[in-house]
Amino acid sequence: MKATASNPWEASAEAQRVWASILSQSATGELIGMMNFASLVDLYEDAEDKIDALEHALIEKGHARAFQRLGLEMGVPVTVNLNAPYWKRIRSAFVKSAGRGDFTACLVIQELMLESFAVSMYGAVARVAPGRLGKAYKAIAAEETEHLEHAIKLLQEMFDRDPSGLQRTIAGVHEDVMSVLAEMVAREDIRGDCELCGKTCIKPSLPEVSLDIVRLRGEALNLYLKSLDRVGLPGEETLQWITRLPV
Amino acid sequence: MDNAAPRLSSPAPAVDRRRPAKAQFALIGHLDSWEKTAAVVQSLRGAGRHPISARDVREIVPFLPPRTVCRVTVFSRDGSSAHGVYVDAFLSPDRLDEGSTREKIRRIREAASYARREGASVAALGGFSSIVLEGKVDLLPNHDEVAFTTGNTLTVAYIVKAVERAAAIAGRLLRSQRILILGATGDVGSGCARYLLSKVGSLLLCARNPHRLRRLQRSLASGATAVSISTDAERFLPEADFVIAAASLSSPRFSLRSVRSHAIVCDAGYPRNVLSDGNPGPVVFFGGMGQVLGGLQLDPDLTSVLAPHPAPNIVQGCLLEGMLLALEGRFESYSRGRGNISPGRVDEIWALAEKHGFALAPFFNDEGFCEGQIAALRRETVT
Repeated sequence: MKATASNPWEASAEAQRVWASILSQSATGELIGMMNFASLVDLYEDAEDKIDALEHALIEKGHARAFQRLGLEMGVPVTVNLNAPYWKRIRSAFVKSAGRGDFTACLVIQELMLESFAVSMYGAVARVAPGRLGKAYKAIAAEETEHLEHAIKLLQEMFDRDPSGLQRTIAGVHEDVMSVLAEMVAREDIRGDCELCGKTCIKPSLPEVSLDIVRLRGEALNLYLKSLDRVGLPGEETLQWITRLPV
Repeated sequence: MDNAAPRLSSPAPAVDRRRPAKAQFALIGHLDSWEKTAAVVQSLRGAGRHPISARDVREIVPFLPPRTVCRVTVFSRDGSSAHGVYVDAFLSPDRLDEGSTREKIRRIREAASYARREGASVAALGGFSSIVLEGKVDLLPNHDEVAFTTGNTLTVAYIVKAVERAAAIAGRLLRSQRILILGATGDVGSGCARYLLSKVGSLLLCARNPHRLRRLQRSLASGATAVSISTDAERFLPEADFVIAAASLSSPRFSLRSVRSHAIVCDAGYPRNVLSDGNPGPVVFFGGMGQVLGGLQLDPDLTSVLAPHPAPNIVQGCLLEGMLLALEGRFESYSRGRGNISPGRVDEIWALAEKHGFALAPFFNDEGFCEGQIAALRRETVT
């Protein structure tokens, strides 16, 4: 039995397992975002910007808490695992860039790459999730959209100043981070257990909640490419980047 | 680059603007098979990576937003050159005539916006990108800033010049030949009909819409040449000396089983119109294409996958029209609407093509060059 708009708690056992995994990925991703924004505080020079970064971190924490609460309401377990392999690799890439003091790379990882995926996927979940769950995803997607827009504006300015330099920076972190995200959304598990799904991968069961990993991946890559277009990067370059991602 | 965190409100002084050169023209197109699409993806992916599966290509490519695939430089015979981009709309090759027309138009509009972003002053619409619009380039965004052309006038020029040349090689007087045009009411088909009307023995026109067929027949009636119409291709195929296949099809549909063995078939469809059943039959060549004698450069070099032809620098006429207009500095919607291609316009674009060395492509098909097969028809006639 599929979840209905009026009563999400009537979902089948498999659908509940899917919701649990979606909420676990979302909560863990938000907490990774929280830590990333917190790391940005040190990289900003201006006090106002430091405050903004901290506020963004708090917003991400709020999102994670919201996902955990929704899980409780639905009676599904929400796992937060900051050492889950994929998320750990993304955090490591961010920490590496932060360690170099590379603000641009950090901005690109958190606010362009992760937020592109978050906006796209939360939007997709919002379209199919019942009741409060759907509303929560829709509201959080809107807030993440603001982060993405903020990043695009900053990166447009950077591109105007130094197009080839910004292109090099994004190319570098694309290799590190987008490869991991591509593995996460591949049709089948490339690296094995994500350590957030439970015993078996939930991707084949996404249709239980009217989702589909192929469409989720496609729409996320589409938004990422359009974001890069808006920054100003040449389409033939970014197309090559996408074709080289793991599948 | 400077990695220090900028002020959120920092001004953006111009320091370094090493961006790709602004395009003068854009070629908006799509690939006509998944095999070709996979080849392009694999080529962009690079030799070091494991081949991407056909399934992954089919699952990922339809989500790609239209974008530049490669930069193009075209060289004229007079020594000048023009820079442009090939923008792919990423229409799914197997869904060209099904699925949402709105979705296809949305993608073509996005591709048109992309052409504007690249700075193109003129953009040619290849294959289905002009078909779904039926030549109504005014529907495209930024049409007041970018001159969109369907490119059909040059396509017609290459088709009719190829028919004239093939007739000469085969030792036939065009004036005695029966010419069948499949897809006759389309922009390309009707342009060929108008051009050939006074030059051939008779015209056999075939299309799906009987009203449009009758209207076209009436418009051609003033000439001395007999013009017959039918919605059934099989009725005319056994009678034709030449067949011009210019229908808007998403995949090959016309069988040549009933065509006489001495006939010459010009398949000008993109995607192709004519079924290849492996049986011996009439000579088929791929028409509507030209060869840039001055040369073409693609960056990245996707020539072998985008234009896998037996001779270099062969391109569809519709795309060549965009390059030609850029070389001429004529940033205008040269071909627009449907049914507007006159013999005078064909002669004019052909003169420009000759000026810049955009020659008629050699006769070829999937098997390779086929001019020898056309010449053999002369020998058969003589013996």
